[in-house]
Amino acid sequence: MDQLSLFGSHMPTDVIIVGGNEVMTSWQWILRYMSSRPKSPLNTCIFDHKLWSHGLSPQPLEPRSSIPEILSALYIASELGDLKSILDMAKGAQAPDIIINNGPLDQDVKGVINSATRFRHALSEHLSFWIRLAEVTKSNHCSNFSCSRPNTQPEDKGPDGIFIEIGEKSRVEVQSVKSSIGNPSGLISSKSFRAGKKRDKKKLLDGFWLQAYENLGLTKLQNALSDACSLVGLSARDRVYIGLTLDVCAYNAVVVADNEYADVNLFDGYERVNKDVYKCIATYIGSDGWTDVAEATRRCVDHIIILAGV
Amino acid sequence: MYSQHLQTCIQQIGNYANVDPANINLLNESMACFVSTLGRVMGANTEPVGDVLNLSVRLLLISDGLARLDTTLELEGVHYLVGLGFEQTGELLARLLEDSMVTESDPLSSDLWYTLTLAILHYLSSGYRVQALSVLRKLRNIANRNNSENIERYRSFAAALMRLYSGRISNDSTRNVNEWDLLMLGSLESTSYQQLQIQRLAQKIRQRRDKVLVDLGQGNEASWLSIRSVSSEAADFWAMYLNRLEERGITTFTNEQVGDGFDVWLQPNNDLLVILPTGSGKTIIGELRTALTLARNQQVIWLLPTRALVRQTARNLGEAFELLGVDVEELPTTEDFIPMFDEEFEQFRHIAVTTPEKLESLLRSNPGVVDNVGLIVVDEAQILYDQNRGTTAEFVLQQIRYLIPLCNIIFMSAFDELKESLASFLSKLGRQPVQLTSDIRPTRRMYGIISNDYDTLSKKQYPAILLYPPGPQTDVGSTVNPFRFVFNQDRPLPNKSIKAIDTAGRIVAKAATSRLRTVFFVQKVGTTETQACTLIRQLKQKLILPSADLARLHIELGRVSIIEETSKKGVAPHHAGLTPLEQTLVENWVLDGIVSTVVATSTLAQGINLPFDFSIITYTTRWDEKFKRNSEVPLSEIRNMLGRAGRAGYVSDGVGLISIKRERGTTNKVLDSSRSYFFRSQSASTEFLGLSRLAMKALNANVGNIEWLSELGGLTFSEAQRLVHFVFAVTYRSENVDEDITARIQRFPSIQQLSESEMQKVVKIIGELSENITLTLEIADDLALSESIQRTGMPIEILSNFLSSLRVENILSITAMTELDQILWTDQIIYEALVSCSSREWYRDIFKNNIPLDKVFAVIKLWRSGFPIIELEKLWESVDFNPHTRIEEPFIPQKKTRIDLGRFLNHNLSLIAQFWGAFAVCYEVLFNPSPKEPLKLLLQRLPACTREGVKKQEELEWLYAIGGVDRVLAHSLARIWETKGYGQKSGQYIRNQVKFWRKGHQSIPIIIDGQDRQALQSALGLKG
Repeated sequence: MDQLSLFGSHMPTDVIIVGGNEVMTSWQWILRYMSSRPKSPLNTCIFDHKLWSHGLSPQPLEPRSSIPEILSALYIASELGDLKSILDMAKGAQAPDIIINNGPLDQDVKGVINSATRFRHALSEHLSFWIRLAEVTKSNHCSNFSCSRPNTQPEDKGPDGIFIEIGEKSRVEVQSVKSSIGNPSGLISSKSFRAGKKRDKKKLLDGFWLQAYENLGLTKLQNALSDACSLVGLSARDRVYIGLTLDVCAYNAVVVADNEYADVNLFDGYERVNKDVYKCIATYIGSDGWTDVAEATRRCVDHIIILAGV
Repeated sequence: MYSQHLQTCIQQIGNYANVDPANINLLNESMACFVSTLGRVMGANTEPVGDVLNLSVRLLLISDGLARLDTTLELEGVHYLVGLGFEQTGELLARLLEDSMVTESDPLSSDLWYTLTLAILHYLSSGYRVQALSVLRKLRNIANRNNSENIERYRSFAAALMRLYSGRISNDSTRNVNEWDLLMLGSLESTSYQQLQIQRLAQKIRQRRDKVLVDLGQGNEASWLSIRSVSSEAADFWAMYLNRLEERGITTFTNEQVGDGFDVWLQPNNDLLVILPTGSGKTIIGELRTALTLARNQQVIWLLPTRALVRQTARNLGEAFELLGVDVEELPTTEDFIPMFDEEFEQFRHIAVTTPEKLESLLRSNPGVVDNVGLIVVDEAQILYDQNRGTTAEFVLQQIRYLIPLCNIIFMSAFDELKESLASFLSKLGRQPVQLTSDIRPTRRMYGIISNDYDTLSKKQYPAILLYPPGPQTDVGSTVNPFRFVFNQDRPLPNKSIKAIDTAGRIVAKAATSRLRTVFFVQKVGTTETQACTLIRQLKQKLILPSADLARLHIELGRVSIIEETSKKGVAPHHAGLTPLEQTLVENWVLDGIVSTVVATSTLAQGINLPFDFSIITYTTRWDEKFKRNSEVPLSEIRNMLGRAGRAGYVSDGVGLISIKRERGTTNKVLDSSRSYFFRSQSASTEFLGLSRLAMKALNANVGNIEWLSELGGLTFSEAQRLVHFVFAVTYRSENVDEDITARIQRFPSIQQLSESEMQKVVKIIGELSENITLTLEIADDLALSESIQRTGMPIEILSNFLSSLRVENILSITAMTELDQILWTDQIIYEALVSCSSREWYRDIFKNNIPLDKVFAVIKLWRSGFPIIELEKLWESVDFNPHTRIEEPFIPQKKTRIDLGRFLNHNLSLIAQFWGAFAVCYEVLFNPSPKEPLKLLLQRLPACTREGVKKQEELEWLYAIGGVDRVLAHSLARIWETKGYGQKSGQYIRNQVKFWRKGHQSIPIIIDGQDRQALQSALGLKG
């Protein structure tokens, strides 16, 4: 055996782990059945309680039927797929095959998939990404948009993701995501923040306040913005133009938790972040047992990975 | 609000991105963020509320776009806007969150650190060096003060930024190169967006620098000089100078500094008018022209208005030129009638830095020494408008133009409203000047009011600040949505008897608690101390003052200073009644961040440039003693006080406020009705200046009246003195007085301000004055008196008295006396002469407040003998003055005593000291002593000694060498060296000693110990 063939026998090959059809089916499910964001505020924010009307009445995500399969396909697509192709799909193009190029699965990704807790947190970020993508597609008022890739490993400070709607008057939405297996109120804001005192940067609204008043997460914001701009090929002049004409910079506090806790009052104190209620979005993604939904999805993902042999 | 320049920047970015500038809100949003943070720091509610995130998104997008462009030369204003935005969102927060800023292991993961880095890089990308320096200093201070475990990376980052700023960044392995240098040079692959952004912007900065030095002839020196008719032999000198520029980090220039191009104004044969705002880098313009003049082997003289500025400029020019073999020194003459030093002005590549008065003295005594001077740089050229000194400045300039017609003159000033007038002045000196002018300020000012705001809900009144929004503002119009801070979380203001000063005081206390830097202008000297004491009662903080500084104070005063009491809480008064040492220490403590609040009179606004966030004025009218009514404070004075907010290179954003009581209506209305203080354009000055001002005052004072010559009324003493001196010099022994007067005064540019009829009146009245002088002298029939008047311009009565006293003395017996007795003898003659004139108007002008003359002389005696101030205060306070009265101990002087004596020593004594000068002239005129005659030397020295508070030459030398404000310490040093001895030339010896000691406190000999040693270390600026 010569050296070339020996080397060649170990060369990794491209592997399709989720086909385009599956991605498209999952995306269509999210898009078709997802409730829309209300136009009017409730209390201190736009409270967007996400449910899916795939049955008789709007339902939360559940660990049964095909939902874990749908979520697993979407997770893999946004974790391992080409983000530009996903955006193109949301804009009407074909869904991409999700391919792992030239090698085994990244150890960081593997680490997340192997841990129920870490996966649950990661899934909540991916879920909020897909839901925001569905929201912009559903609302149909902007044909050009972009976003940053969801975090592989959730980080502490700064925004978890951004969405930009690009047009005459552009809109940027900064997302921060929290996932809870119980009552999420403790993750959303601290008591002292609601009392107008000290902020705890690990809490959702406290963190937004720190972004709004103390520039917390600027470097992460830059990464997200640059990603999003590059993804849709914005020129230098386009970037300056959007910087000047940006109409709205909104906050989207995303909570993924059991549906029984869904309540607009969880977001009390949002007005401290910004007095304009239209800039304060609270997205509550309700689940019928979030731990089970996440775990069922994780098992599906694991299964797909094993099948793909990566 | 702000300067028009920012509107130009907005226009520029609008044009580039095809967005209507009217729809661009960057400045508003940025100011809202700044104001919100400021309000939060001070515990106020602010409107509108700034959204840092929103602004950051905008700035990051624009920053990203700019960094991607190959060239942004036409977008320099846009870089400036982005720098401004990042600075306004980051700088205040950095002060607030300093400790948490450096906790990340990587500086580029620290959001605030990175925000400020972007501000620096964008400023530098467009040549806004002063603004960049201000932020850079902030980062460096944070890195140097902090001791967290990651701090070394931050320090090395700040060092690399400083090298980038100064053009010294390089990958030369022999230098101290770090990872950040390599990143900024592009030698390190970037692994994050932050690194990539830094790399891109750093590349623009480096390209810009290379271009500018090439424009100055770098690499092509000989032909660059030959285009300017300078011999190619000077190419080496010019190359060395350009290298020095690079070493000093001066490698880029702003558009305002370049103007129409170096080829236009950097020429050896034109007069130049430079009008650039404070901190915009005027000095470098003067320096480049200086270098070009030196390249032609000519000398240069810089004229500055104050001794402090002379010292500072001499130091700066020394840094620029001394390594090139150029002598830079303060002109070693004094403003007295007889120059104390007679060293020759060097003849080759020499720069002299001096005041107009000293140059006048040199021209009077030895005009030939200026033959090879090729350039006169008049910095702070507004001195020409100074009531007391404008005439001297004008006299010197017309004399220079007359003596050396080819010598060029540069006027430099920050006073935009004087532009036309100064240009006209220069052209009347014979040449049309090239102009380099701009109104682009390196600091941004936000203007507004403090008032008592009515809260409709609680029906109570609270202190509030209202600011005009950014964008063009005029003196008419209304502000619908001002930026507003309301302090409604505190106790309300009283319902009745609200005073503007108290409302402002509440806000100053808030600022002081937050360690924001404020100068609080009050009307009266005494109020500065009262307000400072009121403020410290509201503050909890307790600071430790530098013990060496306190040692200095204790030695000089012999008691605790008011500034020591208040500065422990970060507050200090500053007024003309404090000793120069106290004033100096307050200024140093502000610079060192110990004192954050200064309560001052308007004198602080003159020439002192300290870093303040707020300048707050509490009055717009004041009592006019002459007319016995309140009159408006001149707009120029108000603007000057407002202008203390912000400082180029230290504080980019300053807030200038006037406290105005709301009587009725809304605070918005108060804001609208106050517009003229901030925005009314000051028309080109039509005021008379220089000799024409003096001439018009002379007309009004009716100086042609024979009585005037005795009373010298209607003019200040200095003005009267100058007028008499001038008239005498022009008309003495003239055969055709009117013609001579006309011919002579027409050489003065300012005289063309007079109409023909005014001119006729002036010539007539000066002629009358001349006649009166001639008549008086004819009656006196005394040649010595004539000569004394010619040399001094002092009152004839006094000079006659001196001459009579001298004539009856047996001079031989006087010369045989000890120095101490000679001083007593001199004092006695001057005392008696003054007593005989005590009913004259000029006497009352000098000795305001009817200070008894015997008390004045007793105080002068203690002052010259080196007694601490408290001993002088004991004398001053005694009601029935008796030097032998026993004073109760411990003696604590009343506030009035301290302030009155302080003003006397700082101001009146300079005038009074001239009588010793006049006496010395009389002695010389009468006896024509040999140059080294001891009595002559003593008399020659006494005016300066009286003014400065010393007796001996060595004491004076020590005093000057250690900075000029530590009188008692100078006496101590002189006493120590009295036993040690100096060798031949005490002056040179003392200067060398002090130069050596400045190397470090260990260089100071142990013979100087205890408090003296500590004080000396502080005086020499040695830490630790």
